[in-house]
Amino acid sequence: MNAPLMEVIDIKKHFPANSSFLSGEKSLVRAVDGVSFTINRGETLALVGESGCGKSTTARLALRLQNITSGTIKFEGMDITSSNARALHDVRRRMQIIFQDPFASLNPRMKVGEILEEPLVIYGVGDASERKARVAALMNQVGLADYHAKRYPHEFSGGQRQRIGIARALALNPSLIVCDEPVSALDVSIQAQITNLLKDLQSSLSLSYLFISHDLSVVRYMADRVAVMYLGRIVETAPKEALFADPRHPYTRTLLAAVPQPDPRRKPDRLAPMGDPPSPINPPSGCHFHPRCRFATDRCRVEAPALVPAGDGRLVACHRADEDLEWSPVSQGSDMSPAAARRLSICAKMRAQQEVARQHEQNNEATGG
Amino acid sequence: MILTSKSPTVPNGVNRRRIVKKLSALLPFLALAVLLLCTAFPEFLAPKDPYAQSLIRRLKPPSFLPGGISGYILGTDQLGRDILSRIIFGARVTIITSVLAVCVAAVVGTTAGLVAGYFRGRVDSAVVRAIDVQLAFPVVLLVIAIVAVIGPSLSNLIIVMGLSAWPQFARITRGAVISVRDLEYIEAARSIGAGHMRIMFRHILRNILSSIIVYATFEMARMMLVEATLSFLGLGVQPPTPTWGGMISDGSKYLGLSWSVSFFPGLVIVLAVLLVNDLGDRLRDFMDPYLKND
Repeated sequence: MNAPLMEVIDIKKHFPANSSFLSGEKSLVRAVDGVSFTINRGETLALVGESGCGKSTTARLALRLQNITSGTIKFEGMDITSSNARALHDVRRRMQIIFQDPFASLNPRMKVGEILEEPLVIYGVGDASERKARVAALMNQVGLADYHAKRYPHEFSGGQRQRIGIARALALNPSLIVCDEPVSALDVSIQAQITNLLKDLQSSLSLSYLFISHDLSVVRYMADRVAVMYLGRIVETAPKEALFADPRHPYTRTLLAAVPQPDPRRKPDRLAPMGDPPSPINPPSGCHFHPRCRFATDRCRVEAPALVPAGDGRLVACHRADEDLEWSPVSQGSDMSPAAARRLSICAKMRAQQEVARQHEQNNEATGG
Repeated sequence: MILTSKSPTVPNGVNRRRIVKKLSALLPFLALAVLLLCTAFPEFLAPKDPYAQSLIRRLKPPSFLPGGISGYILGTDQLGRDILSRIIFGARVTIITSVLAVCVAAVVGTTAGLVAGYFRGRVDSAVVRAIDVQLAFPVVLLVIAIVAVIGPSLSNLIIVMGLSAWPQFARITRGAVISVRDLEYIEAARSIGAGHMRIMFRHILRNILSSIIVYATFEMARMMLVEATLSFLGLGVQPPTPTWGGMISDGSKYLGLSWSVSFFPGLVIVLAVLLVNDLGDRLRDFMDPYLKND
């Protein structure tokens, strides 16, 4: 089948914000402002962006957990944008969600067995003994033991709870699972377990994931394609390798530069955007990113760039995506005293020598060993 | 309990304290059993006929005090009836009216609060207005009006008392629902296809039930007093059927001559209210999975 599993076309979600006390004017929060993407079967599409950019809202809109303001959502070729409750009920078993906070997403008053059995009960799957067997199978699938079914969620650790959440999402054999920051509330060691579990499940059950995260190292591990969101819009979509190797949008570039590297000698990139993200109630004119972009031109301030193809299955929303921009860090020399500059240059020279020496050493070791 | 494992070696004092603790934990259940027995079989427990009058032995003090007659353990009332027997027979009417009235109030109020808090919007506004209207009315006045129209039967009394108490249940439920409805596990329930009814009753209600139960126990105590008030006004259960509240109001006219006519039914109400509150606390703890395995 070549048709995409899910197709989202220009969806928008506007929330009414507090109206002004005097004038009674109502303002709108444009949480999601014209987002389009497709997810193919067996694929992982990652949705990244800083907090508050509308990632989670987009995911909930795609699942129709919230109603959209405008746009179209197609799932398995069917338009579910305005499906009624009954039609949605049938679709919903094919698309599930894993939540960020494993402590809030499980009903504290229900035993794990009940939590996992509930979707089966709702969809009338099997009789009581069949459901019990299915629950046991699900628990084994996510690495929990049978006897855990009789316990309450609060008796489990964060990682185990997230496994319960995953098992619940798997209960109805979905084809698409939205993972809403599934590992960001977990310890790093547990993150690895859960991402591996998700990967294993994907290959054994041929699942598609919409993987939402702000953690680019996790995304790099999980995703096939990556969509970068900024202030309710997608600014760049590309296959993972292309995006990480050659980001075209200045915001993507900034995000990648912000990934912490476990190397204390590495010079931090001076690509941090200026200021805080603007409010989605009153977004900047033109390109939403222009007030924080080093390459903004007059055109950027006026005209909002469209998401256009840029080769290799890449889409970019930037007026200057085709230009070769000067990405290297801004020189700091201008406001430095000559003495300081001299010292720094000596320092740099020494470091370069050390580097050469070290590489030499490593080469020797490599040949010697 | 750490003590359990080494009970043979601990000194006697500790053991005795443990036994006392265990007994005191059992006490409410014993009291509940007695109360239920009184409600179910007053004929077998009461030493005398609660309706048998005798002007010769009216307003006698309890039998263990000077002037008391043996056989009338708690003394007699203004018509010479045995107070203990009347308290035992009164348990049935008092317990049944207050329990059923609270049930009516809890069912109506909780449902209204659940629907209002879950759906919000216009339904919510309507329910909140109805609560305000109901709370603005003096309960006793309302009850007088209703009873005057439909007559003072036991079932009418229960319904009227129940309906007068629904707003508090609705308010508590609504507030609790609003605090729970936006949590992720409710969204999770929607994502697995649960309908409104299932979410309201299986997910939300289950998580807020403890606060409703605690309130219901308070309310049950209040209902006993409301019933007493109505009996006092002559709108409650009609004489000669004994009720605890009715007995207090009867005795209040003779307080100068004999304290015991009002005192003992009053004491029983206090104990019953304490008992119900204690049971409510236990029930809440029992239903809380966080405390269950400790």
